[in-house]
Amino acid sequence: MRSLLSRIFTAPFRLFHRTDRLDRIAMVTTLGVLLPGAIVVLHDMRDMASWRQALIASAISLSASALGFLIRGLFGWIERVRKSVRSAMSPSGPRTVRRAAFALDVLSCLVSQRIANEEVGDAMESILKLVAAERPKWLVYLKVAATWVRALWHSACDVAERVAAIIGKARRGEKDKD
Amino acid sequence: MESPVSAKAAILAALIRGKSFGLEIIDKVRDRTGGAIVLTEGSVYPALKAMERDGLLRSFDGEPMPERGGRPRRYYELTGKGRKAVTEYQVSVGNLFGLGPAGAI
Repeated sequence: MRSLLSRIFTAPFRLFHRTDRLDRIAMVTTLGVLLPGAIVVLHDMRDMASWRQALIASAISLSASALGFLIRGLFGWIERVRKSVRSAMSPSGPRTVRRAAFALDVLSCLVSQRIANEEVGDAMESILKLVAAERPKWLVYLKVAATWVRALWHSACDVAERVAAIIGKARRGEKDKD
Repeated sequence: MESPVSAKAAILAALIRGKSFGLEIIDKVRDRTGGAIVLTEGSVYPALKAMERDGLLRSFDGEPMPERGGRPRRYYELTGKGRKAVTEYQVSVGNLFGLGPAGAI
């Protein structure tokens, strides 16, 4: 009997310890708002006949849950940002190379064969050097991003030059006719 | 301080001892000048293309390489006109500094 009672009483604490840190923060926030609210409502229990007080009690519990949810989300977001920053600062490895190679393969489909072979190929080679030197992941991703921007820009310039050449040729042809 | 040598001159100097590709040209220039002149990929590729269009360089593809994701390297080498341009550049720079015709770059 004693053991059963102790189990019942300690159940919330055990549940509390089993949940992760973010859920604990949410629980504490919710209870922190809910309990004072409940105390205030119970204190005025004598006049609790009115529906206004019931509404106030519901509003308090709802806002407490919403606040708990909001704070949990905020802490979760901070945790995720911290994790990704920590991960980006760690040395790059085969997984980073696979991701970079995939991004550069996609880029190769968008640019001319020459740019794909020359610029994208050189970028891949340079990324492998960075990985071999155990440079941080963010540097590899920065390299990929810079390659994307540069290769697309050079492709656009290439297209513009060709169009200008075609227009120039056509205009020269018209002048010759005149 | 701004570099006294243009990207074009640096590329010509890097190619005077034989064929090379974009990334290697950047490394060669940085190593030979002890980091005083650093070419970027953004400036090297358009310069190489322009110099090829002007007839100073010729380019060709190498063998596909697995470390480049199966893409070949694009090698560049000086043409006769390119070699002449290098020699002229050496002479003019040598004269500028009062050294007479400059030695090997």
